[in-house]
Amino acid sequence: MNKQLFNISPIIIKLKNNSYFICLILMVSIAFLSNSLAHATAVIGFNPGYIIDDSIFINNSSMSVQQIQDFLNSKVPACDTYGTQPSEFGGGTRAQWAAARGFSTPFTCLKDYSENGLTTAQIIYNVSQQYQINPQVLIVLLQKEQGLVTDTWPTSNQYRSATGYGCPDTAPCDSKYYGLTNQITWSGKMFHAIMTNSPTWYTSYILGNNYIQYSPDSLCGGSTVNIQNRATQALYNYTPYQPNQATLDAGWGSAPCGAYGNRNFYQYFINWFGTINYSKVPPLYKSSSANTIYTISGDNKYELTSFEIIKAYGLLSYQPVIVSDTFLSSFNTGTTISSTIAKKQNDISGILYMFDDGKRYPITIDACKTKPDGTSIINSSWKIDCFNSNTTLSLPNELIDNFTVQDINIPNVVIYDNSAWKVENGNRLRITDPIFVNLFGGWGVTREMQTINIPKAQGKILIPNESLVKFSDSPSIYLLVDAKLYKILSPEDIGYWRLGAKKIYIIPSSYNESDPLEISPEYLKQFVIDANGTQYILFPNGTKSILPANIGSLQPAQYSQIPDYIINEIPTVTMPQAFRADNGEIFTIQDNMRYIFPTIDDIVYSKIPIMNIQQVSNNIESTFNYGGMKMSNGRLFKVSGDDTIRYVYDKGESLAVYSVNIPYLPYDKIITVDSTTGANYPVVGIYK
Amino acid sequence: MKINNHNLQNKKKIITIMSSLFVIISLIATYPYANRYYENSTITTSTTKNSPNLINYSSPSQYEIQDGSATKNSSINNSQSNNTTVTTDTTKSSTRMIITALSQNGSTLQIRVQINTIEDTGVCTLTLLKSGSNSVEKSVSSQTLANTSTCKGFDIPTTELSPGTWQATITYDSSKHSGSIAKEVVIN
Repeated sequence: MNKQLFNISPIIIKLKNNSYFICLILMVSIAFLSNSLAHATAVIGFNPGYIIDDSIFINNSSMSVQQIQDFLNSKVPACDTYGTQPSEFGGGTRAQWAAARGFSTPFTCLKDYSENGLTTAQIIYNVSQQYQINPQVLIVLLQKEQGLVTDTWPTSNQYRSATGYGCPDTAPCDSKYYGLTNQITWSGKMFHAIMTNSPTWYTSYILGNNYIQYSPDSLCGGSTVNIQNRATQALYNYTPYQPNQATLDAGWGSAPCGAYGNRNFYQYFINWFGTINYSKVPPLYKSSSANTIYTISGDNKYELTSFEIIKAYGLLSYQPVIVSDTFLSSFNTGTTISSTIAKKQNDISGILYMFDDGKRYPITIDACKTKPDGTSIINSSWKIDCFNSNTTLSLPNELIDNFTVQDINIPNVVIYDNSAWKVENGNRLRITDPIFVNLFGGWGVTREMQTINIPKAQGKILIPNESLVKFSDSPSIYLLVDAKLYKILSPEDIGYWRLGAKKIYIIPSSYNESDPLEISPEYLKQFVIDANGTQYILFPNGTKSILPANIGSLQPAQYSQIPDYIINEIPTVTMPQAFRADNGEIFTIQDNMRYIFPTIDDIVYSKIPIMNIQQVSNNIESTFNYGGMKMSNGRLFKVSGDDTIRYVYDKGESLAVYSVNIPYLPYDKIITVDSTTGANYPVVGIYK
Repeated sequence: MKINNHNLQNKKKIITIMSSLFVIISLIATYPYANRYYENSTITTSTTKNSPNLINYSSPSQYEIQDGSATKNSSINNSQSNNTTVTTDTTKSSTRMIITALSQNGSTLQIRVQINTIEDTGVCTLTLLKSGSNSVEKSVSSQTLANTSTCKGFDIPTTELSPGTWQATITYDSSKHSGSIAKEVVIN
């Protein structure tokens, strides 16, 4: 069928040059055509080794005589008794076509046919009871062999060999088996003999491996088929061919090397009687007068309360069968299926499952909210109310086994909405780095889940601790420490806090909306204080020093407070004696005051190694109040506004130099200092 | 000249449009028929428990009707064809045979055969040969099935067969037909 549709394409292309409108019309037409023919789809589910359940095959109570009669009536609404309608096969009217082949009117439809005073329905019923064969099997047999059930003008030879019994492929039918009753009876007899494994009835096939051809033509080949039950064995003894894939793909159509008997048996049985396999009983039912969807098992019907529930239990792909209210009311009302947490009714293990998209995940105790005795489980992942009979269902085994597939134990990491989530404490936490997936067991125990089971995204997003974080709607960058964000004010902090190797995560702000990470009022500074009150100064090279006690206590605004393990990751070095700010100022710190070296000489003569001068930011420089100049011994200076030359004597003292004739004093290096500095070097005598 | 071409093109367009419309109208007209089964497929049921017993009392679908017609046509044609090939020739004709099953099932070698004729008067003979071993020969009668016949056997105890590869040959012989087929089987 598809082949025919594709063949139309060239026509479209040719017509393009003439009119796009025509193309459009044709395309719509093709879509329409394909839609109308879509029902002629490939046969799905045909198992050559298991065509129909034994129990269905021998269910001789499936229909009463009246039901058989009603069924036959329904398939032939109007019989063309005198063949007045045009023949489907050409050759004039049906009567004329038949006459040309030696058959005369009136044509008696199957529903009206009788033999020896018995209607077809009665004959079918009688044989079904005599040989314990489902009358539906016999009905399908009449259709697949002679088309009798739907035929509006059957000929006498169709009744003569109604079930095809005694009709080899390459020879005339054996008259020994002629006649409707005879045919149905022989069919029932053979089926019964095979179903009961009669020791006096031999078959061409065994239960197990058999070679079965695709068609009567041996050149078409065949394959080994593992016949798994008696009913299938019986059907092959009737029609000794299996459909090849092309025949199955053809739906009702034909295919090269096709044999259609068993394929059509399968199709007719399903179309007319619902199922060929109890494990494939149509799972969904809907009343013709209401929208409620049920599944049925045993004597009970179970309402499925939502689309999500139907999906979770693996039933979404099934079209609900529309049934009468009478049918539904004949079943007891079972548990309403409104939860996806359930266990099998008959399962000694009592395993509780979570259902999601046709899969079932055994629930482990650590996913439960409480233990059986009601005590809480700390660090429960899913916080499932496992022992609450109001929310955990007990469902028929077959409902669980037939439509869902067991998977791994309930996972702690799930993929949902294109993101990975850690399920924790009944919430889901968005995972932003695969490293977490590995930490929580890896991808092998991670599953994509789709339905109502997924907890709300109420947990904080999972970003590796000590990572840098930037949200998409803000330029700010933070250091994440223990789910708290510490803002980084300047690029220099990268060096001070050794952040250069940290991974930066740029996160959509929406990820952080449900339970946002806390933003600390603290930001990263160049001083930090640990839990013991020890004060540190950080340096741009990623080291730190303990501030000497004589510096005094820093003000809270001056330092960061952050967990000690972060502080401890920064190597500690000996406190330098001198610092160089970015502005070039070189200073030392004493008593929380900043003292500036006026010249390199003052540093050298103070015996401070130049290499040990620690680079710091202007920020640090400005943190300490100016305390004056730090001059070395022997320095000559003047205080601004005072022409007195002073000599730095020792220990912050000075001597006045009143004579410029004193040899050896470096008069050419006299500097002028402010009064603050001058006050730091009080005159204690006269230089002589 | 140009005018003539133009008229010709117009005619072609009109024909094409009319053809397209015809196709569309035909499709629309047949659509309800094509979907008849599916639109009317309300299923009533019996109340047999444990297995919802659905009986579809709706009219047959177009596919069922078409398949039924094709089956009828094929059946009648085959019937006519086969009848015309009946002869009174008394010579035996060969019949095709298929070994459908040939495998060791525990301590039994199971052999099943399909004979493409319907006769219960024939004789099937199985011969098992293996180099260095005594041959095994069994004969049984045939039995009819619906469209074929089969041999009333064979289940051979493997105690009668030494391990190794055996050549199994089955011959069929009746007053009207004869046939033969062979295949190897390994006995463990």
